[in-house]
Parts: sequence; structure tokens; C-alpha cells
Amino acid sequence: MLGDLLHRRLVFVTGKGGVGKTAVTLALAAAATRARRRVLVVEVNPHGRVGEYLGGVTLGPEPVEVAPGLSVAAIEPTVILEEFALRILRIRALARRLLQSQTFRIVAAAAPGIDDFLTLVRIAGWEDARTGLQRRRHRFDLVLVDAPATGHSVPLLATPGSLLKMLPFGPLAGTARELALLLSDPERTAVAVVTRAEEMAVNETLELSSAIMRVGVPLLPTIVNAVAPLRFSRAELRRLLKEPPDVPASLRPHAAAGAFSAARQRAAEREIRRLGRALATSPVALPLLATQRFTPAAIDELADAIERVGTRRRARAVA
Amino acid sequence: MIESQRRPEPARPVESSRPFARLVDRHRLLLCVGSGGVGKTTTSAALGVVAARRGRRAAVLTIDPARRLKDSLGIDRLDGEPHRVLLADVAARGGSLDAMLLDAKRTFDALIRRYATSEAAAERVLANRIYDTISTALAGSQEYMAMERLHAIASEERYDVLIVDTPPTHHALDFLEAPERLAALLSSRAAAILQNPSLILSRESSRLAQAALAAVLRGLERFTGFQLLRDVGEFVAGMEGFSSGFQSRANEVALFLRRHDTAFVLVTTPEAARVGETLAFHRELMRAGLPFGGFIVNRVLPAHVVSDSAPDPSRETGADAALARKLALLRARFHALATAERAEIAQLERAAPDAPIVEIPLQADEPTSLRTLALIADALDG
Repeated sequence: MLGDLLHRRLVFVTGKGGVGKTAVTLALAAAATRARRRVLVVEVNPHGRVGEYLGGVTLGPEPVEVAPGLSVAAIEPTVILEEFALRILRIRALARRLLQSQTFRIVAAAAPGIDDFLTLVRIAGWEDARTGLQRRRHRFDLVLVDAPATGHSVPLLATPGSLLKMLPFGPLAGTARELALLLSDPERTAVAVVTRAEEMAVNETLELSSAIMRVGVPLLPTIVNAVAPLRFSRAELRRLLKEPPDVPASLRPHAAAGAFSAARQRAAEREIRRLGRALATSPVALPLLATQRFTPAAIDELADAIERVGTRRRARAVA
Repeated sequence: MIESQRRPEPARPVESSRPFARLVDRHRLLLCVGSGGVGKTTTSAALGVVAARRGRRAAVLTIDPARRLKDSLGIDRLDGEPHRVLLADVAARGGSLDAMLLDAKRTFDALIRRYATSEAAAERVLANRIYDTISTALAGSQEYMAMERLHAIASEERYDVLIVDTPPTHHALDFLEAPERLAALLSSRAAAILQNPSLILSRESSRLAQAALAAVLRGLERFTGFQLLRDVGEFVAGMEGFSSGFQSRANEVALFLRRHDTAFVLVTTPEAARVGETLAFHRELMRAGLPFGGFIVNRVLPAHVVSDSAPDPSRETGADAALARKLALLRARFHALATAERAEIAQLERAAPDAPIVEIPLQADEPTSLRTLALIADALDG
């Protein structure tokens, strides 16, 4: 998993609401900084939790380094619209005034995808940003985007393509073409879909993954988050799921917990298998953490798990 | 509750002391609100099952045409027309359950036809190139149209109770404020400007500002690749006279949401982050003076799996030592989880001491079928 990630320069993390996208994004970022990458985490959701999970950091429109090698920034549609207006107007007060007018809001709402387009332009700018001293060195090795949930991430990724269809020529077409190239380049860009080992979440992930494939953005292995870390063996599953459970008297008070957990494990394994078969790639499972509140320590724990996934895979490849 | 305070009701099953049974018995409109991923759709459907079982003609309505509702209700189609859900043992009691999509686009079309000054004006708006974008992309139009459609269905009196699965939101009241936002956008001032874009320039005092605005509008025009301004102008001209109609409808819908037989149900899971959001939704409802029906806490660890009163099994030796160690870990984990969940639920109780709270146990397997939906309905009705 980590290898897949470290080979890219721009990774969008998306998935159904409530699966833990933000925690996974930050854990991927932590794992990448441990591998000495300079990482930028970009939050696209205006109600995002990146700052909260990092222990109360305020995100702004410009990247700020919050830990060694880890920078964060947020994209606010109003701010980028203002910048767009500013680019044409060159006077900030005028740009602000314009954006406050009702008329402008109707016009902007009628211009489909303008904020998505500007969001991508900004992200691509960070992907390509160079350091001042060493012109040839990128400012960030990896840009991780905490992308919007399922419903909005496909339109976001499809923006350059739909814009090119609408506007094959002109000044914006050039930018759109560059964005389309960046998003479809497997050497640079990928999408990581986060899900849970539950039937409905897997259904939605399969729909989302095929929509992303249709748009032509490369996919990383699906990340199955919050998988119960405790595993029963086949024999233990059989015994616990028997009616009544086949355990000695001393363990009987705990048999209900065991049976419940066993049934959940079986359902989760079934869903992970189904996901792997449908996408023809083994998903990556991350453990459910004991904590309920996401703190930097919890993010580190999840990053440990991401590192372990990488090692296990390599070990298997060697064997 | 004292007898005299009760609202006269038609013949019904015996009055229930179970709070959510009472909720579906006494209300005509239940709005399920919650953040994404808490199981709002399933819970709304389960409330519909409870209502149907209690002999009510119920409909569950959703804005989101996702597969989830279809999957869990066992129906093939979900669209603007009602589809009957086949439930055992409800017909004899006079109950039924339908599922329906609140189709925003179609509702917008119907409204345009209703409020247009003439047939020709309506056709002009519907044929306008940006109408499609406006009717779907304009902030709040989806939600507003859903409320509008809901109002229309409620007025038909075909159902005793409507249960609405609202879209996931960060602010509970997003969709309630939508009508006002939409009406404001289509207000006469904006309309006048758009009919004659040069007005926007004459309003600006300085020549510099005029030139600047013209430049931005040209930039937008270039961005969208068509004569955006002219289209918007035409669209708004076509909407002339609609604005007051929209406004009065919006007011009616707002009143309808505050009626005594409407209630908001907040759906959450017992996780800290979700409970925090739910408490914020609750404060918003209270501030807006909207009727609150209760909390549904979904996916609570079932009590029968918490075995911390029994001794720690990790000392077990012999053939079952490995299994015993795992069960000991599970015992510790479930104990911690149950403790954390109780603390979160206690926060909900403190926020609304008089409101009913129902817990739906976490299922060993995810609920998607009508059968598992019935289990959730049992929990709500139990």
C-alpha cells in the first residue's frame, strides 16, 4: 500500500460518508512522512476535520507545515472564486464586492463546475510547486487530497473532461487539457477509495470505483477501514457459531460475545472477498482502533498499520 | 399525558406507551435528520414499517435515489411515483407502506408551469439552456423542491404519515432555509439586473468598478463557453412574477414544518464525533423552535455481548487457551466500547431530558433486507 502511495505525487482519498476518510488520509500522510516524503494534505470539504484530528490546527488557503514534513491547507470555494475574480480584476476589494452580489451568485451557479475546476487548478499548482532555492526540486513529494464524499468526488475528477467537451478551444481549454493529463497519469496520480467491510458500504464502493474508472483516473487498492483486529481461526469460528456455542463451561459467559464477533468477522471477510473479486485487486485492511476520538496518537497507530501492510505484502512477494 | 391534552384521533390500535410507536401514531410528518453514514435511510424505512404495522398508511420519502432504500425495502424501482412495499400482516390492520422519491427536477418543472404568467412564458423558461443547471445546481433548489413536493403529497391526504429521509447535512436546517435562499436569489433586484445587465454597471459608482465588473462577467462568459449572461437574463425575465409565488409557497412550507403533528427525529450512532454533530443539530432545532420527536441511536453494541461481570477467561489453560485469550480481549474491548457508548448516550439524555431515545442494536450482519429491517422496526417499537 505504502509503495503504491510513495510512487505517486497526487492522491485523492474518497469514500462514503462516515468511513473514516480523514483519519485514513492523515495516516497515509504520517506513513509517507516517516518514509521521508514532504507531504501536503489538502482538505476540500469546508466542514472537514483535518485540523481537529491534528489536535486543533487551523487550516488556511496556503500550506503551513504543522509537523516535520507535513503541511496542510484547505480549499474554500469562496476563496478560490475570489482569486479567480482577482486574476481578472487585480483589485481585491472589487473582487470581494462582486462576489457578494446576488447577481454574481446566480451567474456563478449557472456556470457549472467553476469551483471544481478552480479547486483542481489549485491542487495541480501545489503538485507542481518547486522550492525557491532548488528550482528543480518539488516543494512537496506527495499531495494527499481529503476529497469530498462519494457524491461529489466523481464530478470533481470529471471536471477537466467535461470542460474540454464544452470548450475545446480557448485559454481555459489548455489548462483543462493539462489537468486531464495529470489526473489520468498513473505515474503521478491515483485515487484511494476508503470503505468498510459492510455490505452497503461495499456496494457503494463498487459503484464509485467503476465511476472513477470511467473518468479515467487510476485507482489504488481499496482501503477497508475499521476492520476488527481480533481474528478467530476457522475452527474457532465454527465452534462459536454453533447453536449453542461449543466452548467449555468456563468460557460460556463469554460465548455470546464470541458468537457475535465471529458472525461479524464472517460477514466482514465475505465483503472483503466480494470487493477483491469485483475489482480484481486485493483490498488493504486497516484495523479498528480502540479509541473513539481521533488524536495524533491514533493517527500514528493507523500509520503503523499502513506500514505493516506494506511489509507483509513484500514478504509474501519474496516468499 | 393527560387525556384532555390528547388530540382527537381516528380509531387506531391501543395507545402505546412506547415512544416511537406513539411518534408514528400522532404525527403526520416525521423528518429524519442526521450526518452521513449513520444509517438514516434504513432507520427511516424502519419507522415506516412500524407505522404500517400500527395500521397507518405510511410513505417513506427520500431525496437520494441511492440503491440503499431499494435494497432494504426489497423494491425494484424508486421514482416520483409511490411503490408499495410488501409487508406481512399489515394489510389486515389497514396499514400500508409506500416508498417514493422526492423528484426535485420534476417538481421545479411543475412549479414553473404553475406560476408562469402564460404558457409561452413557461415554455421559454423550460427551454432555456441554463434552466437545467439552475434547477439542479443552484444552492438550495434541490432541497426546496423536495420540501415543495412533500407539501403537495401531504396535501393529497393519501397517507396518514410521511417519513422523510433527508439528505446528509452539516446543518440540520439547510433544507429548511433553502426556500428563503432561493426566493432571495430570484428576488426582483437581481432579476432586474439580469434582465438588463448594463444596470449592474450603472449601479457602480466609479468607472473603474464598472469596467472591472464587466471584465469579470466576460471572464465567466468565456469560462462557460456560451452567452451566459444573456441566457441568465432571459431565464430571469421568464421567471418574472414567479418570485412572489415562490415566496408564498415557501412560507406555507415553513408553516407546515412547524405544525404540531410534525416532528424531527435525529438519527445518530453512539460514536463521539456523530453524537457531537447530533447535539449541534438538536441545538439548531431548538433555536429555530422546531418540534423535536426524539433520538434514534443506531448501531449500539448489544448488551448481551458485554460479559464483564463474568471472570476474565484469560487464565484458561490447555486446548482452549488461545480461544480463551481472544475472548478475554473481546471482553475488555466490549467493556470499553460499551462504557464509551453509554457516556455518549448520556450526553443526548442530558441535552433533552424529556425526549425519547431509542437504541437500535448493532447487527452481527449489516441490514439490507426487509427481514433485517423488520428487526430494526422491532427495536423501535419495542
